[in-house]
Amino acid sequence: MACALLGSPSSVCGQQLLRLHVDALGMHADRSTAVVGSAIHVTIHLHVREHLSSIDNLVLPDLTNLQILGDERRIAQDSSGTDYLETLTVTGIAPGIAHLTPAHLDAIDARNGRPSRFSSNDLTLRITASTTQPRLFSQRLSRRIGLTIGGVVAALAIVLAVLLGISNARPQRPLPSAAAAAPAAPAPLHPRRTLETALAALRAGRTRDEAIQARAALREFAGARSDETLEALLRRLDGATTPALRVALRLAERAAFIGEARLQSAIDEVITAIERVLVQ
Amino acid sequence: MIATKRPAAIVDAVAGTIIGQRDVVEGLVLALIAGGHVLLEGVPGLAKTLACRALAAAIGGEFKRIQFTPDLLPSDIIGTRIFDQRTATFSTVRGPIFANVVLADEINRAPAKVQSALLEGMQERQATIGPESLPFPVPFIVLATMNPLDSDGTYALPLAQMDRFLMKILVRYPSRDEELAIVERFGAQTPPLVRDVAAPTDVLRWQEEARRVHIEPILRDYIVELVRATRDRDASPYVETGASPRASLALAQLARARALLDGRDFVLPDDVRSLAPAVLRHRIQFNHRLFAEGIEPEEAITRAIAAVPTP
Repeated sequence: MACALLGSPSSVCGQQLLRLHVDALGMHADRSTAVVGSAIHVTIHLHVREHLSSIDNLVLPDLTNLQILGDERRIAQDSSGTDYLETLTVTGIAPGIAHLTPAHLDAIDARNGRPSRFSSNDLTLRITASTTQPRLFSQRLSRRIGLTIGGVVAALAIVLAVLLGISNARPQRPLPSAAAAAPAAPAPLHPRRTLETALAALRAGRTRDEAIQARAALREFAGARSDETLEALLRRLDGATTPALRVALRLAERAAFIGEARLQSAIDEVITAIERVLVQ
Repeated sequence: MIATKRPAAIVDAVAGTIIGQRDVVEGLVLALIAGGHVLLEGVPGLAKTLACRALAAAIGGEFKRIQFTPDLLPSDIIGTRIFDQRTATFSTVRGPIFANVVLADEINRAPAKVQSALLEGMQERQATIGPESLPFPVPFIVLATMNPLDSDGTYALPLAQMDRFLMKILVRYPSRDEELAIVERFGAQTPPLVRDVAAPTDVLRWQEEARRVHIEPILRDYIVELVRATRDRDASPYVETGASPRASLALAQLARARALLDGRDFVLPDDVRSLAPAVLRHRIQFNHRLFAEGIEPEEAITRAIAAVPTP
């Protein structure tokens, strides 16, 4: 893990913890309810001020009642540090509540020099019974994630192998010195950082899923509640939002739900609108 | 005729006649675009009849009103065959259901066989009189009113028949300012109707456009989840019988119509969420807990809807 710290001496490797300025560690899902078999994208976002080429000791949330269909990781560095984005594509196994425990990262907090555990928020997903015929649903699911059934099986095998690797690489053990250290405060969420990351992903991907993620990040940035529609949000925030944010929220809504034929132009518009929001 | 032939012009025209009740007016236009029928519930004197007249005038359609009474017969609605002695032939006399906008006033005052005649007509959009099957004019919309008070001597509509109405709109009292405006504006004269804002052919075109409005799969899931929530004991502890899949279809149709009314060709979560109460309220049978705990039916529906997170 520490070997990933660019320019660090190799002696940092091993059991020692990285010394990190953790600015943000958050987790969000593109929806909070889904039928069994339907794909949900759970995104974990970490931002540290240091320049890292990989993040190896991030412990993923407990995914009881969920099956992992895919795991995509992106890492990007800029002048502000490193952005790490891990998107888990999961699906509910059985109807009920799936509670995702916080993802966490053990590190030496560079602010106070203490070993600390940085935790994300937790998530609760509601898995409901399948509402369509299983066969139709699996066809739709396969179409959505762009994989054939064979592809899904292969992807699952790869994911399983990766997860085994992760579990070996990231044992959830108590910190050697953390027990004696002061209890770690969870890192605060930074919706702005999440929005920047979602914007970057939208610029790169330009897909419906990226547009939905950008909408979710923008809603989080605006302080939307999970049960709020856009109109309800705008009514509640009446006067408390900037015109640019209101415009961006409307355009994000448009890009998330517009027909395929005009999706790309809608994405162009929402990218510009989010950029304006972030400039302010 | 006004150059703009968009559905919003109909809303403006009807709202120009009716002070307040904007939600009611929009609901009527949405049902018209979605090609469904509406139950209107409210105490007398809230301009329900006027709203229906204004709607018919705005689309340049024919308006007929049927006052439902206990002695009404199916032939009073559908029509009948009369023998003409001069020509020694039967001629068909069409009933008042042959109109573009039909107001079935106090539908629960007529017995079941009359209600059934109307509801069959609503479904089939045609009536059989003697040997002839005669289609109703298009567009065709039935607006049925029910008075929540004075339930003595009424024949409650069974749930299965209520289900045939696309939506149920509650007509509420106007605000104080609106009531003042009503007195000032219409105290001494009959409210003027705004006529021919659009033609029946425009309505047919809107209906076709609404069918092409895009609904993302995630919103289709949301629609189904909302309706299924009424059958879920956890989300709806006060419900005895939840809404049928016809409610899902109705919600999708109306959401498309609302998108069109708003000038969009795609549905938003707001469209679905805002219309869910009107689609669900007459399709649900509540259990004894609702009454025992003194919960208002509308509150129970609101809770069921809120239990489903918005996409």
